[in-house]
Amino acid sequence: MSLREIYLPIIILITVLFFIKAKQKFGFDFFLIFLIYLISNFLVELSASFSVHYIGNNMLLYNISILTEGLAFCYTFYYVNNSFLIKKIIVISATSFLLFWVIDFCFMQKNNSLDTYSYLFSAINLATFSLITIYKFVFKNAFNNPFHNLFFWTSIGILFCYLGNIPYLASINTLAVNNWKTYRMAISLNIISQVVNTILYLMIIIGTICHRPETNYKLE
Amino acid sequence: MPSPGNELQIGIIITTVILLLLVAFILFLVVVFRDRQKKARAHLEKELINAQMEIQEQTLKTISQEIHDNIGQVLSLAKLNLNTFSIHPDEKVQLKLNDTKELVGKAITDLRNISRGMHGDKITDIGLQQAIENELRILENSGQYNTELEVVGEEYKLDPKKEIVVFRMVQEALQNSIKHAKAKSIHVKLENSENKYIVSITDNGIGFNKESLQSSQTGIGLKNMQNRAAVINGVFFINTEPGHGTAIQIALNK
Repeated sequence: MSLREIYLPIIILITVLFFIKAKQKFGFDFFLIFLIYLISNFLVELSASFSVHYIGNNMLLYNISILTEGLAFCYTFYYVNNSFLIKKIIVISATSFLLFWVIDFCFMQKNNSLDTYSYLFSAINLATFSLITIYKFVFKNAFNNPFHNLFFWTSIGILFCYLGNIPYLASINTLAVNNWKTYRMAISLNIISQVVNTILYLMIIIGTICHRPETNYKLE
Repeated sequence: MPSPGNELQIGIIITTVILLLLVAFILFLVVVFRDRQKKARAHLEKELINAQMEIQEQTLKTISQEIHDNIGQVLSLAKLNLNTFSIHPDEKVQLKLNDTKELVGKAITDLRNISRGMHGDKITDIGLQQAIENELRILENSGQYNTELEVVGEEYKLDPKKEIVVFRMVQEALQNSIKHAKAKSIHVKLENSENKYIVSITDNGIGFNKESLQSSQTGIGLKNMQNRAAVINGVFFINTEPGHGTAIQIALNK
């Protein structure tokens, strides 16, 4: 197994260590849920790296990770936003996503392929919420510096990660077919995916370092 | 099929492009946030000055009412009592009695004038020009200062809130001329042009070095005037040099 295959779990592990070190900066409930999310993601990525190396298919793990990641980030946006309307929209979106994921996982797409519909659903939701959150941090909150806030950096990370991953993950089932013509495109899209995944964890690390507990992180 | 070298090249290009996009996006957010923060701070500062001025106006109003209702009444009663004395046979005592009556009368008039200058509502009732005239008359009556009020153009009625702010600025300028500049002659000009209303206060005092005010405590009064001018969307100018007097100008758009 090469280092390239396990570089993402290593980055996630570093993120977990940074996050644990800064635990006093966050509320207990948020810390716990976000830590569970990071650890589960670490385990998923690590197992996925091993399973792709030894078994050849890791799609089941990623399909489950689409759900856990989508819900964890929905909770993050729910936690950071104080607006009743946005909270309501997040709850409705998360519930719809959960139902759609179950239908997609059980009935729509094959088990050995990635649930691209669910991924797209989640990506559009999360990219929209992250844009709203970034907008609120920058435009509606002139006296609290967003650059001292983990959620702001995480929102940037989520935006880049999900938007950047859409072309690769939405077309992965087609690209996976042995076709030399699409090989070059698959490589390019895979690199984009790796870079934006790294950016997400990098943003979480930066946010953890820059976060100031005295900052009022709730958005009206 | 691309070679490993090609793959690396693609990787480097893609990574660079994405990182550049990320940096550009974050920089954009920094610039926008800084701009909004600057605007919000300016707005807050204006609100604070407004609140400060409102508190000051309220305090002055209370003091003015106290002077009028309490001290003024006591002095009026004292004058009334003095008037009830019959003519004293001793000429010296009678002279002292007359002097006392006159002094009490002067105190009543002075207090009434001070009270009028303090009360914001009274200023808006009589108008800016009349209020400034009263202030100059008080100075003139002290016998220590020569004052002059020049009105160019027709009398212009400012918005009541602006009127009080301008009047307080004129009062501050007059106080500065007396206390710090040690001026003997003060000239106030109200100029009503086509699209501007300009109030100028010029004295023949000792003047000062403008740069020295930046860091000193004595600049607070002038800074306050500048802030007040900003609150009413006016422009505040000051022109002074040591030994050459001071000229202050408040310009308002109509």
